[in-house]
Amino acid sequence: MRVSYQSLFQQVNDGVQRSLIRLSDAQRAAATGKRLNEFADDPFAMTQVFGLRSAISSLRQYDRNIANGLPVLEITDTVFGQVTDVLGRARELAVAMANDTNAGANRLSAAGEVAQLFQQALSLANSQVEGQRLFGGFQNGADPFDASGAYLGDSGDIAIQTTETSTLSLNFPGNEVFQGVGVLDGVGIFDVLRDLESVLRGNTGERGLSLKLNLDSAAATPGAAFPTDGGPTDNNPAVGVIDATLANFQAASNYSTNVKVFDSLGDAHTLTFFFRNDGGNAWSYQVATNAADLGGSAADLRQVGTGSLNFDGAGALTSSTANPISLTGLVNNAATVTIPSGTGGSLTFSGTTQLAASSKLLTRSQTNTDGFAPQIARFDATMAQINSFRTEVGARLNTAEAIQERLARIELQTVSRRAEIEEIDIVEAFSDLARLEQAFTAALQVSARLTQLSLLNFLQ
Amino acid sequence: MSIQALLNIAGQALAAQQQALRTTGHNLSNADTAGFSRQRVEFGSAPPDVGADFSLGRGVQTSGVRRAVDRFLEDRLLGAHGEAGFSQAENRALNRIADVFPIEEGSGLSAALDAFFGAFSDLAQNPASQSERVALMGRATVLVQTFQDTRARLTATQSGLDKDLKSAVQILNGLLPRVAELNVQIVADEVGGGQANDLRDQRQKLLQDIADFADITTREGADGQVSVEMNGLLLVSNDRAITLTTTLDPASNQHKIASLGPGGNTTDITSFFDRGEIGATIQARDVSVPAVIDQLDQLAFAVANEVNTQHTLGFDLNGTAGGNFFDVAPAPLAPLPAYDSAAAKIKIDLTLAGDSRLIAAAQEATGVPGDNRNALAMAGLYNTEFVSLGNLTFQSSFINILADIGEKVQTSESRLAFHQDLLTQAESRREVVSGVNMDEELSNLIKFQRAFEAAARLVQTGDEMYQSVLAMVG
Repeated sequence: MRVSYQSLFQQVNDGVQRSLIRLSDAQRAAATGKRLNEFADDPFAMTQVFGLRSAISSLRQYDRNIANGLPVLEITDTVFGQVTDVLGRARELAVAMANDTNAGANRLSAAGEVAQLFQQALSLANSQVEGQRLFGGFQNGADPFDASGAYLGDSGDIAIQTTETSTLSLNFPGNEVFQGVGVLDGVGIFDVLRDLESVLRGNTGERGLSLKLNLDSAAATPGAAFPTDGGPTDNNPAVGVIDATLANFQAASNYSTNVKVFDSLGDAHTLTFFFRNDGGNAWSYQVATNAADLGGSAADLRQVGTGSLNFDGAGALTSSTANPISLTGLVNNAATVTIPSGTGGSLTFSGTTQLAASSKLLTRSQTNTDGFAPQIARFDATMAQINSFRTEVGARLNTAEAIQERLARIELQTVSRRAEIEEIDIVEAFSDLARLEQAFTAALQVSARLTQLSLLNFLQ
Repeated sequence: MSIQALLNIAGQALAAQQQALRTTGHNLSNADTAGFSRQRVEFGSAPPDVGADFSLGRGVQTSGVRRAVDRFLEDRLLGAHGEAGFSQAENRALNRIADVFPIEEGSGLSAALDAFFGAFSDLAQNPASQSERVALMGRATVLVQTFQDTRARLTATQSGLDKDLKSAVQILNGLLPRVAELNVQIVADEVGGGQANDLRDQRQKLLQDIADFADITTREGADGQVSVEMNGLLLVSNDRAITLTTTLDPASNQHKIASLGPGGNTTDITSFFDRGEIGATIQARDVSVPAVIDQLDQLAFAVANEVNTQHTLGFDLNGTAGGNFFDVAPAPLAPLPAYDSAAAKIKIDLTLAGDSRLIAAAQEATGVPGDNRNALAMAGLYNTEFVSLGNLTFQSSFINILADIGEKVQTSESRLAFHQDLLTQAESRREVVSGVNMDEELSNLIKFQRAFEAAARLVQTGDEMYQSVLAMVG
């Protein structure tokens, strides 16, 4: 076979060129650390790399979503903790005040503290992170609770995307957490605090007196008059108020009964009801209190209310007139007890069958410790409610962290898969480079030798 | 018999060796000439003096100078040029398409899609936040610009290919008449029975150059003229060559190849060019690039439509129902598909672009400002498979476009390597026959020099013989 001068050089050129291309590829790979430097290097691997890149980008987005969401959940957890503290303190107060020894000023200052706690709870319920209210639902741009504790938000559920298919709710609508809406046996936290304050102030929902009379008309002496004014034994009896001694009353009445009521400071006062049979089924009564309470003599009673009652033959109440009982001008301070007052009730009598044995008066009224027990029970319920939400936050935090870990793991896998495709093994790359350098040097040397060979060298 | 005969023999030998030396020199000096075939002086012994009992040789005579050529190999080389020309141009064009899509991380459409839908995810975290909204608008702008830019670059690639085609046709148009001219010259030179070696080499080289552009077949006539055909279309016939021109097709705004008739009328012959560089350029311009543009338009159209559909379901920060997010108006006229040019036309809805508060992140008007459900739904589009995209997500649809290009580039790479090898092989086969070997020529040089010296010696001998005879006379 003939070898032409041109094809010899062509071959040399081709060989050197190929070596050089391989060498430059290896150099670029070693310099960039990447196997794929342009699309044509390996189009299929390149498209895989594109897919993996976008997967990584999604994973990082999810990770960012969670990373931004975690602080919200953490702050929510903290807020729930603080709310629990507030409720715990209020409950402590309720327990401490729920006895007769803690009356008056103690209760008043406790009521003040509860009012503070109410404000604290309100401000916790209006907590915000970067301007977003935690408990407003979708209405998180403004405070979700007004000063009275009414909810202005909605029950919107703000979720973030945590994986391709799952989302995680970040918020707890305030009406659920603080008002118990949609919660089984839900309790309104603000109501409970407010009610406790009312109870402490002696101003509860249960107002007025409800008296139930068991009357024995047979035992009564009809027609006896109620005492007239026993004379001003005190300093300044109020106009139209009978001031009399106990004896005056007792002489006139058929019988009497005592009812304990509390003033707005929580101090107890004893009201004595004197009943008199006016003949048949018609009765009158007078209410008296110890004149000492009203600045009079301790030995005197003072009339603070009157009224009349009519029963039918079966003993059922057919009509009654009841003038309000007013204890205005109580000595110790400006506190008042007005019975009946407010919306809760009135001085109500109900008649029953007249009993032969004895006449007695059953009372249902505010007592000193009555109001506290149900409040304490309600506090327990609120704390259970908050705790259940707190558990939920904890669960969400755990979920978020678990997803975050999983995302990190998947990201690591994806990144290393991409690296496998896209990047070079640095050891291999450098040994390749060294090998190709040698090969190139060899190719050059061989070329140089080959092209030096010519008959001309031997012709003299 | 005479001394004169001896001198005649010597004279012929001197002439013959000179011719041989000259041819060797010609070979040596053309060792680098492309398309050159080495030449040989053909020696033959002259017809002898036939005597009664014996015949005496009358020396050497040259019967001509022949090219070392193998017609079969030349034809194969032409074919190889056609294939290699096609593969090269195809590969170049496909790589140009691939270059439209940057592969660096964080650039290009893939990253723009990631970023755009990621921004909705960010917005979902804080739907009332102005900064998230502004960031989202920024991402949307990048997405729209990337669509437009990518499509513009594809269109530029297409018009670049059109320019390539135009200039290739111009070059080809210059080559064809030269073949015709050489045909004429060769006939003229060979009229005496000789061989127009160098002209034939030139013509063969020209044919190879033409074969790079178009897949041609050649037929040599008895008179030595070649006719050149392409898919049955006669490009060169003896002394006449077709005149090629390009005409602008107003429908596609691209050039067609036409033959220019004597009356100035043109005939569209574009469809004849299916191989060679021109064939590859036409294919890339009319098939490969439009296919990618088509896919890109479909993707842009789907993105705009799906995003709009979801966006109009939501409510903006003012509590009013969301409007369109993207705008791909005006709708193309029939029979163009609805997605036509979507990637070029896509932009952010004008009303929305002016006020980022109008981004509809909420699902209900009453949910404003905290309601992020529509933002989540928008972000969720990223992972949704759409029937309009063949049950693919936006991103995987885009990667599909890349994979298509990649597959074509890959195939063309291996085709190029294969055809390049075939060409190299065909060239080296031709070189085996026709190439110049320096050492061979040098040894021939010595050989012919020595032969020349020997012939000179013969003259000297003859001269001495004459002197001897003259001395006898003297």
